[in-house]
Amino acid sequence: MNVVEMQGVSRTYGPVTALRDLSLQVRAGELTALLGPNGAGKTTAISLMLGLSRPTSGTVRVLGEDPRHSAVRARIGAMPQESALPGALTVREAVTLFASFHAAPLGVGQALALAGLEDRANRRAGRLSGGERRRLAFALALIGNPELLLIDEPTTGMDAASRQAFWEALGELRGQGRSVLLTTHYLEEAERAADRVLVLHGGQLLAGGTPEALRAQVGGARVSFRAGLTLAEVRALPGVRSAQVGEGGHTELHTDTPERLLAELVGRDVPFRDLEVRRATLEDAFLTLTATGHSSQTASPSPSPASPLSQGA
Amino acid sequence: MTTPPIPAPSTLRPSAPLGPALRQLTLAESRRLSREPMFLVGTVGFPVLFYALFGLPREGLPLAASQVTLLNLAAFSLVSLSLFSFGANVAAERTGGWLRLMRTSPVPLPVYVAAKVLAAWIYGALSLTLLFTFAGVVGGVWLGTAGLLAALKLLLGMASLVALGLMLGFLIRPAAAVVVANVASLLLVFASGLALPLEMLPAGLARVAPLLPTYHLGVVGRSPLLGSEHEALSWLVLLGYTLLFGMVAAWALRRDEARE
Repeated sequence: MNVVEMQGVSRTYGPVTALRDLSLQVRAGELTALLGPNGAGKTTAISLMLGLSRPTSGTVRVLGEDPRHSAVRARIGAMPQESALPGALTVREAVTLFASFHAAPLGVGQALALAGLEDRANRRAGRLSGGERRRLAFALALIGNPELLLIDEPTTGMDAASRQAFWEALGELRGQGRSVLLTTHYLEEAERAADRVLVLHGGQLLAGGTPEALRAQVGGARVSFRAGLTLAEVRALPGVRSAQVGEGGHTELHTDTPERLLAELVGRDVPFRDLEVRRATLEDAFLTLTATGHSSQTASPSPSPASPLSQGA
Repeated sequence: MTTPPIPAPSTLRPSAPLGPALRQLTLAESRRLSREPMFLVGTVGFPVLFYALFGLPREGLPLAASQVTLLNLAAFSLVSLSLFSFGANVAAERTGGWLRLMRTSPVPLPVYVAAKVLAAWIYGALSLTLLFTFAGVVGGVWLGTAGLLAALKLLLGMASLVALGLMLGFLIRPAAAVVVANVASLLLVFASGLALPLEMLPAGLARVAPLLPTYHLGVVGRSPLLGSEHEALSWLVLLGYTLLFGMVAAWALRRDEARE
């Protein structure tokens, strides 16, 4: 079952096309991260899901309904990117205010605890730090006990401890069957926490799948070692996509087939030392995908058929 | 984490009744006003100052004239409250993202607007009480039941100015909104004869006065003391302005939504 379905969605603002024939699904009970460089259309996509705006063409369904109907909004927790809260209200008052919007809200104390704001309950919203303001926005998103959380850039401005507490709370919610869709710039966080990743670029879906599948699609690994090989010799090794040779034979390369490459080095009896092999990270995958800008459906950069990616399904 | 388990979201969700939301939003608005008491300078401070300088009964200013001045300044106080506390503030909430967050909530936007109007009435009533108390205690000018009736009429007529404030808030950027609110309230207060008698204004300005909503707010506000054969007309003009400003505000709100 999908909690969000977008079918052939385009959204233009005058001459600017923010989303171009975008289709994606967000699965129930999962934490999905929507990634993309600035201007990729992430915030526009979230705005459409929140029912703040209407697609120019195509359909958006959230929890099976049109998100512009207020009935479905009661089931969604929203955390938009900017939400300047009334500075004169205390944290507890703001959360109590939002609780009154819902028929069956969580307890105010519980929402504050989940957002890690118990010791700030009586502070005015205007005197909170940037990270604390994001946590208050999180508490406001949670208070209605939503089935689906839609979150735009949650951890911007949070310090390391806040971030960790935030991901713990999200993990707890997901553990209880809630669905979460969030955008983030912190790829290592997405890699660690997300069940599924969607990569937007230029208003289109570039790739979608588990973080492992995306890494695998970019493929292989980063390998570094010291040896007496020339750049031409390094490039001729199995599966090498890019390589650099520096001072003292220090070699850095990216290969699709690290195992065959190492077998070749050993087989040819090339002396090498300081070997380091690192799997491609989600960040490597993201950079490769968005640099080429090709959709994974039309031009897969990886020859490996081991990781077919389906569009967010 | 030691939080109690989160209850499963109920699959059958009745929409929340709007009463508690309206009450909480009005409470939030009232808290904002009472915690940022600068608004009192414009809404109570200036009218009290004007009354102390020009309105207290003295030789050459009989009690009846002083009472009329008091009612004019009462209307002045509501103009300032409507334009600053609501106009400029809505502009800030709109661009800061608070209004956007409200739109993602299950509460319909008219409830948010209704809470602002209710809070405007509560604080309007409070401002009038302060002003009338000052006049009574310092000047010995008590209006009695006429004052109560005037206050009710002024608060009802104030709806047109709250609509104007909301319209400006939805139309204009926050930085500009403060300037526009300043200019508009000066114009509305002085050109309508609320701050100074119309006879003291340039003749051209005095002729424009009957076009202003504040002129008619003055007419209905003074009517318990002076009576007015034209009171019904003034109510009609105020109603017309309320509808006009309200419609422009609604249009501006839609324009905002289309930009999302």
